[in-house]
Amino acid sequence: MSGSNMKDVMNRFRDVVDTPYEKLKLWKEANGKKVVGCSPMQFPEELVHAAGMLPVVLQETDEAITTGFSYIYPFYCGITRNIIDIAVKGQLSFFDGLVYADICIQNRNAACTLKQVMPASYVEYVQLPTSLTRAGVMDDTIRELERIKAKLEQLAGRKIDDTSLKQSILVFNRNRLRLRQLHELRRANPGLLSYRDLQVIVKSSMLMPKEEHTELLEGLVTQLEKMKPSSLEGKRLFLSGHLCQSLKPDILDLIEGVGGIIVDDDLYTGYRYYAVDVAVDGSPIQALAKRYLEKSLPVPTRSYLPARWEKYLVERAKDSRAQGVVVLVAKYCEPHLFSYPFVKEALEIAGVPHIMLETEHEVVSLEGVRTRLQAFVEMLN
Amino acid sequence: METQVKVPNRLNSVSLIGQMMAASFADIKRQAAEGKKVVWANGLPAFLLAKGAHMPVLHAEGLIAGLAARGQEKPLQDAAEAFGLLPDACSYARSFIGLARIAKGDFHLDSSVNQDVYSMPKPDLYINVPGGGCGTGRLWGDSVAAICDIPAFHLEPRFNWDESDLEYNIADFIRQEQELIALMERVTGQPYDWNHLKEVLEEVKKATTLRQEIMKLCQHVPAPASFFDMAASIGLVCHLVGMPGTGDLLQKMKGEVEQRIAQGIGSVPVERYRLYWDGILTWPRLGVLARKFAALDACLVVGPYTHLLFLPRADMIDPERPLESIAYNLCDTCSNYDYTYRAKAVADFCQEYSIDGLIMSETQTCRGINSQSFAIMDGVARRLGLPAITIGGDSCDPRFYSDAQVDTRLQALLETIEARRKVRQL
Ligand code: SF4
Repeated sequence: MSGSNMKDVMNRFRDVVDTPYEKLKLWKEANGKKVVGCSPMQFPEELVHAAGMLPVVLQETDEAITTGFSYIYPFYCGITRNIIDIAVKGQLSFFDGLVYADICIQNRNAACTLKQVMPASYVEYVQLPTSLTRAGVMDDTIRELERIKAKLEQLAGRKIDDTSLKQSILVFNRNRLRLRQLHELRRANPGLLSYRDLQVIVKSSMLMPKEEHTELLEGLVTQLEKMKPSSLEGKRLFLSGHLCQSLKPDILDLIEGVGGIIVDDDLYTGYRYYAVDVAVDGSPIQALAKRYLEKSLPVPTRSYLPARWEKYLVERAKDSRAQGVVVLVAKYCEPHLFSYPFVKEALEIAGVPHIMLETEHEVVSLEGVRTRLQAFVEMLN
Repeated sequence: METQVKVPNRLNSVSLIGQMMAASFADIKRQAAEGKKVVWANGLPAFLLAKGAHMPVLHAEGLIAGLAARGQEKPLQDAAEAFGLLPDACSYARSFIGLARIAKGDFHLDSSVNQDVYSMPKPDLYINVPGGGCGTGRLWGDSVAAICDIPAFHLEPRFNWDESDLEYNIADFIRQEQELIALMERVTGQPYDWNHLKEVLEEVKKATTLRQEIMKLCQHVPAPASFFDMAASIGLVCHLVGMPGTGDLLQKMKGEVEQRIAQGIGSVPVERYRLYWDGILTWPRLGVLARKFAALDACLVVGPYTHLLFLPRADMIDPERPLESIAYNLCDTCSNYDYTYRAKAVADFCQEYSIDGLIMSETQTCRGINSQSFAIMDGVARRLGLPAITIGGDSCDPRFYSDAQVDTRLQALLETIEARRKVRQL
């Protein structure tokens, strides 16, 4: 793949990410396949894929909230308000189904509102166990996945057998593997690819057929592997938080603009999305359950006191030799609001400097943020 | 000419609830000092299972709402904010997390503050019982558990996404109850006392049945008791759930209500408007709100928070089947269903209680309670031809409440009711 090809690939990814729902609609018309939107974080997209449908992870768009104000209060997190807003404007009607997984109360409310405002659509709510120390969580997870599998079969009009589910798991694992390779390449040599581009690549993976994405990605990784390490001057930063929402690029530009280099992250539209694979031996439903229960990275949307997020974050930040951590909190995101004091405390005890920034759906002046970030980066050793 | 000030006509028995609550907090301290293992809990009263383990329970909202109603919530919220909790997080939870930090010795109150009010014994176990699948309870419980280094149990009813889910969800809840009981046996080192649980359930049955009867009596015009009285009575079936004497107090309350009906006395001096309230009361403005409504000849009569949330299915309580009784009261209730079910309940309320208008209180930091406000306004209110407004507010953080905004919107609501009445008379 040549340099210009790399550009083409990135342009293709960007095109998908910039106007996700328009592109998906076109894709659906061209391919005649059903498309299912999955709420971010916990739902195993492989199940949708195995039913011959296209799973995509719902994304927040930049659109200003207007009609949605008549359906939801302004003190809900950005992605919840935005998705409800664009749903009532009819922009999600092309989806053949929307699957919401229980991660927080706002997500639950979004599912209820979508069910109400899109009465003709299939809207499902998935309740995987959220308290992971409870007895019988494996059985409960398998039961819930089986229940959803049956519903998706109905929607798709075809059975999901073990062979097709295993095949889908392989397709997703391959994509995750390439994303991890890319992440590692960049971690070792951040000059290879801007973090902004990494975000585009991950988000596009959530919105495109995985097979096509992997093919393009493989070419990109091969090309990047051949490239010479380029040195970048700046302070090494670890980006944390933002739970289910993807980042707006302007905050990344700000971080890089004040001399920060993002070397690693624990974002959902980042490492969290591809960190762990699903096992391919044994029962595929059990393998999906195991990934959910035993392998996924600690996250405050689920309760598991023995392995809390803050401990994990400190280890990862140290491991990546970050000089500081930027904690991004999506305004009104309760799982994050409640975790932040513990994250703050753990980072302070570990001697890792951090800055917490709140982000909002609405565009606000970033001048104040720039000043704080600048001061933070300057004081890092 | 002498102007008559219209003040709310509070039930006398309500002041007894406050006394009983205060005595119970003192009793928790006494029991902890005697070496009893203490539970801290939030949410719905399924934590009454702790009674069978002879563990005293400090119920978050019971304590915090009372403090907030007396304007004493701020030191707790300061303790939480000093820890890094931002004000957008649930104010009940923030206050309780503040209390945990104080109990742990991580935050020291200003010497000018009455220390006794905020010094509660450290918990040995946390039980979170969220209403309507609110995941925030989990975060809240885990925060207290992490601060105090104790186990947390999340006794969470699964949400009835489809009405057909109910049977499985009840069975699932019973399994959780059994697991909690086993955990309490480990914490106390004692076998669970099922006989005591049965006795407790007998008191619960009596109290919840009486409470339902009182609510029904409020369908009378003028309403003999208000939403404010019923809000105070939550303590009897929540923090004080199953305590000896709770049934008797509700019996007294019922007697007072019946007497008022016989004498034609209402809970406000003049009842011209009967209103529905959606959301939690802004406790720090409780008195202000009660006086405001009375002065405007408006009576807040009914709302899901007081009438449908706390053990609303007295009919399903059978002391011989305690786990099933509790499970039904958690799983088969309005808050555990989505809009369709809730809309029907609200519409029934509006008709049974002769409601003239709806107030949707934003309860800004509780996204569990305010999710379907607009749907109710748009669906139920419009279908029944009732006007509805939203007003700002929050359970325990007065910063989200504005008197001026409430006055303006309330005025608009009452004017709309009047205008519609006139149209109907034409
Ligand atoms: S996890 Fe946070 S950002 Fe995501 S839906 Fe829940 S509250 Fe919103």
